[in-house]
Amino acid sequence: MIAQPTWYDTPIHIDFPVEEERIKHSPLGNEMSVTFQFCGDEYYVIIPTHMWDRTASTIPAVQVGEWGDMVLVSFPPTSLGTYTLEIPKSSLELITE
Amino acid sequence: MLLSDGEIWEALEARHIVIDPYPNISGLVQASSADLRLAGDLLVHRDSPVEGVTIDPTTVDVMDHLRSYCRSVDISNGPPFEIRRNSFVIAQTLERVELPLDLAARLEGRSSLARFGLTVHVTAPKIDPGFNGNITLEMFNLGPFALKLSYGMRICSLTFERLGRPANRGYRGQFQIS
Repeated sequence: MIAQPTWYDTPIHIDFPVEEERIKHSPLGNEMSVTFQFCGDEYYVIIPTHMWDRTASTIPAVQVGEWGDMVLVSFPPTSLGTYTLEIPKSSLELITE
Repeated sequence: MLLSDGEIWEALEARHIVIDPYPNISGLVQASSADLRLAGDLLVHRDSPVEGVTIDPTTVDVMDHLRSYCRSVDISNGPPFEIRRNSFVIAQTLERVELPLDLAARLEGRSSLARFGLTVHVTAPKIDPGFNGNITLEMFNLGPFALKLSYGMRICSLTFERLGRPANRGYRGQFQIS
């Protein structure tokens, strides 16, 4: 039997710090790709441009569930789909404790 | 199950679905879909076909790729753009669409344009629950003629499907639903 993720009833909001120089804007539409480092790992997502908090240099996400030792983190959907990352639970605990 | 015209209107009036500008033009809401119109900004490959370049879609950054190989064309205040046969254009809908977490949508072409060979997506019609934005069109002219693309023309249809329960992966953030 294949275990499915455990989904949270109430997603947990989280902001990921990003460096502006690693943001690439689409020449069409209000979307951008972001590559960011988090606890030593590198991640790539595409999100709507208006979701980027330029002042705080963060992008928002929500923890929607977990699967084994990984937490599933979803980003706002775009025309290129919804990016959901698997991030080690231990990494998230470091910044949410 | 697809939403019918009455259900689409009800969802629009309740702002459960947002189509902005509101489809107050007669006929934009069809029996089981809503027609959307073409925005003015197009992206066109500078050279087509691009010789000597092979893309690895698993590693390329799509934003980098578009910036490197495409040029922008604005038809909002100019003449229509002619999409030549066997050529590819990326465009957007004039309308911004906002979906709740319990509805997904599917982009469809319009039969009147399909008769001339115009497709509006390249096997990527799915719009995720929680989406909020203008819909990107991947247009290809499969027909034997060049076709005029005009600002504001009806270019595609959107159907809406109710999910059995809201998506677990959907983003539920404070800024998403404006």
